[in-house]
Amino acid sequence: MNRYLRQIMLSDFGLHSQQKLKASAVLVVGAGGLGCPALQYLNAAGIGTIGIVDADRVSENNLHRQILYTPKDIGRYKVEAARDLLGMQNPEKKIRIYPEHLSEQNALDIIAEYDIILDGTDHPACRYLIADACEVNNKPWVYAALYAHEGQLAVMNHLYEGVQCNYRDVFPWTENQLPPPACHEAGVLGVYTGILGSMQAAEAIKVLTGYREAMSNRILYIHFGNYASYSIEIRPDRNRIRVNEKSFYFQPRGTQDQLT
Amino acid sequence: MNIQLRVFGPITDVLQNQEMDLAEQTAVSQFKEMLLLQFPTLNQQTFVIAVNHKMAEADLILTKGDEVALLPPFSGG
Repeated sequence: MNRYLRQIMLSDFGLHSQQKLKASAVLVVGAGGLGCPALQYLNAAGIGTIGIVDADRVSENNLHRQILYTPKDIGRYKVEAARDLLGMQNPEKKIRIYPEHLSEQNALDIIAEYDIILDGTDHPACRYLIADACEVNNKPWVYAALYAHEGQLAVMNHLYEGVQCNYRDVFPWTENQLPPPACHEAGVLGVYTGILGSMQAAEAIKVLTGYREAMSNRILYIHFGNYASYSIEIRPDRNRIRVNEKSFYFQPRGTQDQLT
Repeated sequence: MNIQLRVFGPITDVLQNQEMDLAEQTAVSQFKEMLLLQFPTLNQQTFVIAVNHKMAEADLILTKGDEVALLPPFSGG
């Protein structure tokens, strides 16, 4: 445990929190701008099992923000390159990789194996999928998303102080919605994804250990230009019926072919 | 009565943070309808409406000095 001494000695954290991390399993969906820093910090912090879902291969224009990869990785599956580097950084950890898209076919089974899920995706359709699969499996997940210089962060579907709010309660799917532009459309400064992905890892650690209050039932908005922030309390939609295993396959998700 | 509008993300392409003058007893749902009429491109945007930092019910009546935020989901990752 010498490796983790500096966090164990933090007041309120302690060996018991470290042991909780070791006993935890965290899934990161998307090993891109958000996923890379999140994975790096979760791995460093001592999460026992890490799962990584991503069907993509590394390309050159990823390198300004997807910091687990080097030019030698161009063309490789992201999950393999990530596993190799993370394995070198922390050989004690178990890393499971899924070189595929998260989809209706696999989401319920994959998510069932983990304690908390991190959203490193780049399209609202993926977030509806994660939200629904987490709702069926009763798992919390950490939403994060960027638009140019702005970001959002929230711990979704986490039962906290009697309230459990999920993505669809706040952003219900409507047929005419146009998804906001993603990183490859609007552009992004690489370091912004680093800041936000690291915050996601911090939220996961808080939820897993209970060491601090996490961003549950709230959305934090942050502007990376001047760090102005705005947070709102969110609450479940009392008219929405929560997704269950049967209804999972019939939820609208947006453009199906843009899943992670 | 005046309320303060706050907007975020791509909604800032449509309208900016500003003070708005509303009739007394305007509900959040009425305010939204008014916005959608005035700014029809908002019909294609999903966004949550928060009043004084709390996600608002549609039937909440706005009062003088309220801060009304329009927050859309973001995509990038």
